[in-house]
Amino acid sequence: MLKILGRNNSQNVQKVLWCCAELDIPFEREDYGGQFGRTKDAQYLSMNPNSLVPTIIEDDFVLWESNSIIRYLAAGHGAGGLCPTDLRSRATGERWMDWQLSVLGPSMHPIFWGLVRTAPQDRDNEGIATARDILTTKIAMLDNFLGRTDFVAGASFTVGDIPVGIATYRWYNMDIAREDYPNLKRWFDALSARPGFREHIDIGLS
Amino acid sequence: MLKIIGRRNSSNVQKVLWCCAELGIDYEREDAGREFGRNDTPEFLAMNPNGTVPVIDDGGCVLWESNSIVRYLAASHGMGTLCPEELSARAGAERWMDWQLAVLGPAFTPMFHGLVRDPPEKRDHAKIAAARDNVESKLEMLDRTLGDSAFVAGDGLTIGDIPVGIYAYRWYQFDIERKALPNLERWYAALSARPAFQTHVMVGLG
Repeated sequence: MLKILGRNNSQNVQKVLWCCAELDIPFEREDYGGQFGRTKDAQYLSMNPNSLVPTIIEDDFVLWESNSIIRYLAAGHGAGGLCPTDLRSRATGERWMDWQLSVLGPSMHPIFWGLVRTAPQDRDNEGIATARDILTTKIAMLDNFLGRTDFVAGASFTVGDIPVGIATYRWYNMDIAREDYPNLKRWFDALSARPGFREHIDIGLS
Repeated sequence: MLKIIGRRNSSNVQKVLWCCAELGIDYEREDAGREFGRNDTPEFLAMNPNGTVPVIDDGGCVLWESNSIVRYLAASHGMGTLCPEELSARAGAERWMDWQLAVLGPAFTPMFHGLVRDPPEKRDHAKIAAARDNVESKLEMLDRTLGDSAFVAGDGLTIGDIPVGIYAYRWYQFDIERKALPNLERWYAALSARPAFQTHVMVGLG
C-alpha cells in the first residue's frame, strides 16, 4: 500500500492526499514534520535529504517533491483524466503547478506564517498587509485566466488544479481583506464540492 | 516553427534552448526581457501575465513556465530519452526540476543578485556569504545523489538535469570559494562536454 509521510495540515502533503482521493488510491499516512518532527532523523534524511514533507514510499520506490508526486500518481492512475493525454492540455495545467511553487507560494508564505503560525503579539502587521497587496495581484492573474476556461487545463479537473486549489483555500480562509474574483470563486466552488477536497483540504488552517 | 521568446542569457530561457538543441528541435528565437524590454507590453502580458521569459508559441499553443515547457517538449520529441518513459524514472527526474524552483533557485537568488546584478560598492558581503553557504549545502545534497548515478535520474541526461545543470554553470562561474564535490564535478564535466550545453548555457553571466 502507498505510504505517505507527512502531517495533514501541510499544503504539500494535502496535494498528495487530495490526489489519492481523486484517484481512489488507498494509502497509509504517518505524521512527520511540524510539531511531529522526525524529519531530521537519519532514517528520514536517507529517504528525503531535504528534510521536508511529503515523502511517499511505494514498494521500494521513494519520491519527494509534492508536485512530482501528484504528476506521478496521475500519470499512473489517472491517464486521460487527472493526467491529460493531450500534451498541450497537460502543459497548460502543469504550468500552474510550477507557478504555485515559484510565484504564488512565495507570495502567500509571509501572510500564512504571519497570521496562522505566529502569535498575534509577534506579528508584523505592516509586512503582512504589504504582502497581501502583492498576493492579490497574483490571485488576479489566476482569476483572469479562469475567465476563459473551466479548470486550469481545460474543461475538466486535472492534477494542475490541485496546488493552486489548495493555495486558494488559504486565500479564502485567512483573515485578510479580499477583492472580488468571480471566476476564481466559481472555480473554487467547483473544487470545494469534490469529496477529496472536503475530506483533506477543508479542515481549517493550522 | 516553434517560436521562443526570451533573452538568451536568462537561465529560464536557457533551459528551453538547451532542451531544443538536445532534441534537434528547430526554433526561431526573439529577444525579450531585461535590456530588451517588451515583456511589459500589453501584447506580451496577454501571452504571459507574469511578464517573464521564456514564452513559447508552438503552432498557436502559447506556454510559459520554463519547467513545464521543457517537460512538454521532451514528452513530444524526447520520449524515452530526455523524458523517461517509465513513470517512476520520470518522476525521479521531474522532482529535480521542482527542487530547482522551490529550493535551489531561491537559495541562489541573493548570491546572484549580490555578485552579478549589484554594483560592487552596493554588495552586502555578509548576505552573499550566507547565501553561498546555503547554496553549497544544497549542492552537497545533489553531490550525494550523483554518487549513485551518472546523471540525476540514471545513466543518461534527462529533463531533471536541465534546470540544475544551468545553476551548476553559475556556481562554477562565480568568484567564490567552493568545497570539492567530486560527484558534482564529474557530472558537470559531462554536461560541459555536450555541444548543446556549451552553445546555450556556457555563455557568461548576464
